[in-house]
Amino acid sequence: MKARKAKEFVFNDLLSMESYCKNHYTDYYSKSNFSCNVTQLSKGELVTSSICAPINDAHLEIFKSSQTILYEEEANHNSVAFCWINSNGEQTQTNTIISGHRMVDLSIAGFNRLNKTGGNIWDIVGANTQLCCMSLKWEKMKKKIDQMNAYNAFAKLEECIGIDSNSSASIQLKSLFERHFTKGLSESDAFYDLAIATLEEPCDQEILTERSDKTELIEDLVKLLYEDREGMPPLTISEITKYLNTGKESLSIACRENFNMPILDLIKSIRLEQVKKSYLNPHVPKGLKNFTKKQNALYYGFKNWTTFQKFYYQTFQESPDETINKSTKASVLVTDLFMRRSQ
Amino acid sequence: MKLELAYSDHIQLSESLNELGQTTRITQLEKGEGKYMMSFKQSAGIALAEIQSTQPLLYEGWGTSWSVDFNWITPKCKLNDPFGYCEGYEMKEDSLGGFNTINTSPGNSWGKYSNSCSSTACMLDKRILMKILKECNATQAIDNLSKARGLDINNESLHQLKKLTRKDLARGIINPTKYYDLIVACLESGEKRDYKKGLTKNYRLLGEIVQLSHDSSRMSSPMTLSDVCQYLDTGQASLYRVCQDYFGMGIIEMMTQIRLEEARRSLLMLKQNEKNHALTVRDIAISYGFKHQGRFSRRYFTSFGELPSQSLDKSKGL
Repeated sequence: MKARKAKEFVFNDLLSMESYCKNHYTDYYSKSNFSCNVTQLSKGELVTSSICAPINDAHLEIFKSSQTILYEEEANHNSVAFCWINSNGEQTQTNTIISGHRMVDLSIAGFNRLNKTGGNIWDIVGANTQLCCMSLKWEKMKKKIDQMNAYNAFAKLEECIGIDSNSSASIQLKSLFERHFTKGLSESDAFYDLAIATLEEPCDQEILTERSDKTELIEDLVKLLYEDREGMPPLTISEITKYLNTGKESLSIACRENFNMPILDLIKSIRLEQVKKSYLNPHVPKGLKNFTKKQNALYYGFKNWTTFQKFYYQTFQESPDETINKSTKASVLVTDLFMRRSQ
Repeated sequence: MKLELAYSDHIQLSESLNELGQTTRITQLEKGEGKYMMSFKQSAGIALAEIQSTQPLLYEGWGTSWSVDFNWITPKCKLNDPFGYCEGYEMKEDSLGGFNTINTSPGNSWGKYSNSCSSTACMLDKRILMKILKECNATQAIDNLSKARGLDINNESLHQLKKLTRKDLARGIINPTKYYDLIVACLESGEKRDYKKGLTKNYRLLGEIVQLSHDSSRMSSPMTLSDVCQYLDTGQASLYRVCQDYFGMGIIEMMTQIRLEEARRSLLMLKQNEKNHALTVRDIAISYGFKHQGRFSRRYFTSFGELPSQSLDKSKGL
């Protein structure tokens, strides 16, 4: 049984997911433009779903994907994110990492979405992992923090990325979230109070990831790769190290630690996804996309069409032609879970 | 000497203050452009300076070897919150602050003032002041000056001092002795505030925070919150509370803002022949702890409304 307001969105491609995110988070980015980038990192067919049940001042969402994906967005001044994984009691291995905080059952992370000095956030969501995401409004949260005198919570939100905590407040927060998705709650205050208590409550063996040079390096790397100059050959490793002011070896270690692949493979994944998104562009006629498919690949740095086709098929389990043919069909399946229940 | 200087850049304020022997680093705590005005006058044994700004400013490095730098504010509007903090002392309409400059070594003092007031500094010669205080046997005043950070003056003396300063800033200082007399009267008759628990500890902590944030040797590799807590031997909650209360932002945000401000000062101070755009901006960014130039430029633009390269272009014009 699902909550009254819950809706499930199912995507077969990440372009639709990006536009879904844009529509859903605008409210939390009132003073800045929201944009995000999503890339499939593992190989295989993709099905992604998001069950979304927003209430006043809180955006609540459960996200799941059949493939490992990399999500990136700009940090902002207006909202705070709390994300955790729900393994439903099973001890499964997940390679989910939120901006450098490696997620285990006790983890709550994503605080760096609030960043007053610039920056961006990146998440790797492991295949078949259920990721619970809660976005709260910073202004409301700050008022409550001031009232409660919860400066520990304040400090953690501004200076940390995530924590591992077994505090009773964090357990209550997670179960309240679950209750919302089964029964449907209408008030967001309890989410705010429990989120603050989770951060404020001391915990015996709290593990936390602080924002530091090390975490900023990966943030900057992800941003750089997404901003990489379209139409130009991909950045070389020495260009990247120069730009990020780091050594080749430490960059390579950091990349393997976080993305479990060499940096060149990460660049390739991001660029492949960019080509796929251009094939899916709903504003370009199918005929034109067919006519320019090779130029499109070349534009993102793939010089050899045959090799590109091989990579493309290995990653997405479909050929560029199949993607172009699919692009005219509606790719988001929306189900109103309440409607389905009442039928 | 010019009567009043209007600036479009707060860095020019510190340049003018430098002429008065105050090597002050000024950080603008809120984003965006501002307008700044400063008037100052000097005479034997005294210097006066009044600063108005449309942005809240943090001054660090205040204090000379020869003077006690008394401070007061003149409100532009009504405000429930304090108009500023002179070394942590809450500055209200009738407050006189800056006493600690008699104890500290030069350049060790700090202040933060809001945009809802102008702040005035009256620098008097330490030795002359102490001599006068002793001569007229003003024991209360000596006690206040050496032990308090500031006083609330609920009588005519401060009012007269403000009036005289306003007049003299326009026409020039005619009789320095008057200032000494009025300050002695203020020190003798002012009221100490009631004892508040933890205030002395806050004063100490605030001074250390300001000092650490301006420590040039630490700017190239920025500290994390736990580094700062460890260094200042304090908990993160109390550190955060103090920073929020006094500076309106978290400690790391403040330290970042100060580093940005210092990077900007470096860019603006470069001589024409030292400029090599791409290299200079990158090197300066790195030396102030901003490793990724793209991120540095974005932050810089958000704070100052111009790109680092534009500041570099301006540097000759300052």
